[in-house]
Amino acid sequence: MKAYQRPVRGWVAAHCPPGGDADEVAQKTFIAAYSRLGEFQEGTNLAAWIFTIARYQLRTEVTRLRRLADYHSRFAPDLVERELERRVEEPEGEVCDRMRYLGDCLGALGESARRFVEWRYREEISLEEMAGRTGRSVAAVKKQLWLVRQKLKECVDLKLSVQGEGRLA
Amino acid sequence: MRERARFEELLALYLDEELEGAELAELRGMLEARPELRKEWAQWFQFHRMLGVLHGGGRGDAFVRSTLERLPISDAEFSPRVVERLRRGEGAGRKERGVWGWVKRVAAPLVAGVLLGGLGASVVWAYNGPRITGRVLSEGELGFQGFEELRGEVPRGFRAEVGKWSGDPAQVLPVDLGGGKPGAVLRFLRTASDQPGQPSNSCDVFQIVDLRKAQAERMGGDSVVEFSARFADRREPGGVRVEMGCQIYFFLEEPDAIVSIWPSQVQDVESFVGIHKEIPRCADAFRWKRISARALLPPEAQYAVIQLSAMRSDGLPLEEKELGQQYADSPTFTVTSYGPRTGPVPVGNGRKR
Repeated sequence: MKAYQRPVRGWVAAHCPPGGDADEVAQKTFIAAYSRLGEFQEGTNLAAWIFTIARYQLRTEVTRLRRLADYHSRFAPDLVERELERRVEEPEGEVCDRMRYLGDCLGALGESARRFVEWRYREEISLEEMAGRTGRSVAAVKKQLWLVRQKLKECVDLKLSVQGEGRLA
Repeated sequence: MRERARFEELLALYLDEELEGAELAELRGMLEARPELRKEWAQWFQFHRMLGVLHGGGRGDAFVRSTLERLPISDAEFSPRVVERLRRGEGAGRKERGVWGWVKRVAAPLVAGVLLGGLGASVVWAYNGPRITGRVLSEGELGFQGFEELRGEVPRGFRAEVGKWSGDPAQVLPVDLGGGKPGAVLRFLRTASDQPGQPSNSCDVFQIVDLRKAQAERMGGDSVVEFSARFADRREPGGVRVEMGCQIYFFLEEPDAIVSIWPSQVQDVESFVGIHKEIPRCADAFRWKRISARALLPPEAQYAVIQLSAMRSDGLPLEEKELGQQYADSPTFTVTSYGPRTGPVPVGNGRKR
């Protein structure tokens, strides 16, 4: 499970609609995999089997969310949800590659930029607190965060395109 | 060009959880009108979520620990046992006998704490597979009551009545669920210790539910109990870490007998069904997160006590100033009975697609 927790959590988080509990879905995936391990055919692709389970678990979560009366009043327009759902059927390999490259790109970030990512995603502190810590305005912090995200995304996209070209060659 | 810049601005606000009202409608309008923006939004959403998983630091380890806790055997035994079974070509499929091997009898003969293992997963599986044979009992059939009938202070102590909430200081408040639909939420107010001079780390409310009908209507296979509620933490940032969640205790005897041993003997239970999580705070609005506890219904259980809790994560006493902004909402209690297993559920055989 340690080997698969990151790719599975990443895949589930990437496809779980707003309001869904991605870690709960990922946990159910591993619990179901354990419970059904007797049905796994040795010598076949364990990763593909686990991701198949994750797809079923995610569908259950999406169904549950749809039943919640106040769900659509938050932020989950049907069309956006459908876009995420469509992606569920795509091969999981790209998400795993993205996760791997994202890790590389994070490592390559400068200290200042990485600090913003840590505050936002690890410590989950507010923009106001970030502003206080850096002596900047909230607007400046927002802008900085967006720039860091853009830089990271560009870095990941570049690595993916290089990988794609490598495969073609 | 201007629209592009505005889209990015709204997207950034969304990722920072600052999108509200008119801006939300504006983004929604853009997404409805422009399919390519929908795709881009989805890409950013996925990127944002991956960043959260990847940059969660020790959360990966916490996730593994937490998942292992929900599995039927200990961390130390898990990997060697799976590997050994695979080596022998047996797989590690859950056996009926194995489930009851995990049932721990505890404290007193009246109390049975049942470990939650692959149990919840088997329910989810049953819903997804073609073998949908489950019959769901809920609310009135189990004597369960939500918060609808209750307003004001929750009765203190522990009432020996089915379907009645009681417990530590808490209150039920009316709320508008949206669109004028009335609802009710439970507010955790203070801790209350059972022993004078000993501070408590949690505020708990309980209810006894009746499982006899569920036992009578078993369908020959597993019956799965699920207790679920939504939770919100409306404190400002800072202060101690507080977790909220659900627990289920199974009992063999009548409510009077349960009350007579609660909580002194129950406190010794080492393995009960319970799940608690820290809820992301939001002072301005209810940001609900649903938490569910599930277990197989022990064949001998006649009643269950279900408990909603707000507790300090580190186990230290929870001061009054840290409570009052934690809420629970929309509790549900169900028992789903399944027929005998007829074979593996076709969920893919693991072959490369």
